[in-house]
Amino acid sequence: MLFLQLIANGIIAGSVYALLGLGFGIIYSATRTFHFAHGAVYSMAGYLAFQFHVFWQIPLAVSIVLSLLAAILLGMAIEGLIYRPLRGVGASSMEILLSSLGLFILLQNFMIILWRSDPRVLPVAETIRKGISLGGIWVTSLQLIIIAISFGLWGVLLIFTQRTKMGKAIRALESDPEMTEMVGIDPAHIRFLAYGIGSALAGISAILATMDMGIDPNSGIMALLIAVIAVLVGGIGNYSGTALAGFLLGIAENMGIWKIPSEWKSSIAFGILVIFILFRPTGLLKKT
Amino acid sequence: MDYIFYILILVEIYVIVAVSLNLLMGFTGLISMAHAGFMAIGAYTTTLLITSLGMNFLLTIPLGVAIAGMVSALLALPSLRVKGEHYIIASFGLQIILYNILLNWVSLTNGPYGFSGIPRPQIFGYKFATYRSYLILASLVTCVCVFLIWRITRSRFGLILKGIREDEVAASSLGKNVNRFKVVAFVVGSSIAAVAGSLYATAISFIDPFCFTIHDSIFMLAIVIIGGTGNIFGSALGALLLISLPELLKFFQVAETVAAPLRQMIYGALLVIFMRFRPQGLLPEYRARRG
Repeated sequence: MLFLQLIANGIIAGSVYALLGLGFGIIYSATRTFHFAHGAVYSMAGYLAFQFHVFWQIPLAVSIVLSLLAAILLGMAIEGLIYRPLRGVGASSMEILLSSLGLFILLQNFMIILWRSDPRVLPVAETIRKGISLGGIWVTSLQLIIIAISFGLWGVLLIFTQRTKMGKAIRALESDPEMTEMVGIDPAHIRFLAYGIGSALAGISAILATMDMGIDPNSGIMALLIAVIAVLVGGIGNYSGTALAGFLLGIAENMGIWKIPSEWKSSIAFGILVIFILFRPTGLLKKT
Repeated sequence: MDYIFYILILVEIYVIVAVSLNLLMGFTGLISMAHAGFMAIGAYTTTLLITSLGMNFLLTIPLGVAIAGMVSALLALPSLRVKGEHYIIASFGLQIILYNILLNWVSLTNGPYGFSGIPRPQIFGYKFATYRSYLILASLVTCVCVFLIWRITRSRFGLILKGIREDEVAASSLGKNVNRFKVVAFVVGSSIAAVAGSLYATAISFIDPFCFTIHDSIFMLAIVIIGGTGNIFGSALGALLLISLPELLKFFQVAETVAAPLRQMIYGALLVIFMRFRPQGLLPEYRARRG
């Protein structure tokens, strides 16, 4: 029973990780920018939802929409105000990465000044926080919702990138930026689109995590680490691989708690990355 | 006066940190996010050997360097083999793990409490008890480290590293084992950070895991960038500026809960600004990097 419970906990954590990975993945594969500040977009969405709902007493649904919009705007503003000018002056990918790192530090500490270092939990109705037993496994309705949202968005993202014109444009930019431009797609627009979608996914995972477990100043950097590991393990540009890797990380961490003290949780994700670097550097599912 | 000596000692420690990181970033084109972790290895090795075995300070330095070297080789050997940015995330992960070890392996590291009252080094019966005398010791160690790295960058080995940074394919077509050079550079640069850690522990007399977080690693990257990648004197200047200027904040009445994040905000902003407007840093390498 404990085994099944740990698997269930792993899938719940993995649902958030999968969304994190998908968000970072779409940005990284489309723009090849190592977007460290993604971690700050994540925390910003969580903290803003808390600010709107708890401090300003705005209804939960409205707070969620507002904080998601803010996350999308922040992501697109970073692309437009920071990365785009850098690309314009011919900065190397390392220089953009370091700039993103600086931006992450700037935003993260700004949030620490605004919201202090205490963990914040977004309050939700008691009825969906109450545990229910599914054949002996305890989960809350909230956690079932999180799982459903994660699988749903994974499906939507697959359909979007495979079937729609805009989604195909993102994949085109992934494989050949110059060719994309030649067939009349403006890479600048597609990059904005990728930042918008990726930041929305970061925002959704942040809000779900803030409801379920809460957010603190360290959450952003840990979310980023998980997101990057999911992308590298799943394979860059391979969205199903990334989502599966997210679930794999969640399950591995929770199975790990069975035998290893929980303080070492964050080391488990890194261990998985090292195993993949050693034995399967192209990722979980080979890109077709 | 002691306060000024204290700041100068800190500056020298960060000169070692920045110059060794510059060997990776500026001369080889590798970014490491685990530099604070390697510094921690030196700091904890020295502290444990001095306090539990009463070992001589100077003997603890090479041991810290050796351990940091082994750990960095464990990181670099697999992750530098893979093309792309995997190794950056690997170093990021290593930094998190090292921090976890410091925090959670309580029987060895004393966990979140760290160690206080670390004794000042004693060499040939002379105890470097005052800040003034310690400054002399720190200066000597710093000079040795900087000279060593300066020699490396001027050697054939250093030239090959620069060649790899500029064009990996060309370097390997000239018969250079690119990966081996990168690994060696990574190990040398990382292990010298341990020397800075050994100095830090005995200078401040207090260490805990919170001295060596991922944020400190990023701070070190900022020093190198702002000083100028590929220029050793730039790193020294960067360390001087970024260590001493924030001390000025103390003269304004800012609460510590705000001052610490404010300091970090400033160097985060500096990273962004420098990358945009002066990517070569304050003291550039001897030629322009962008056409």
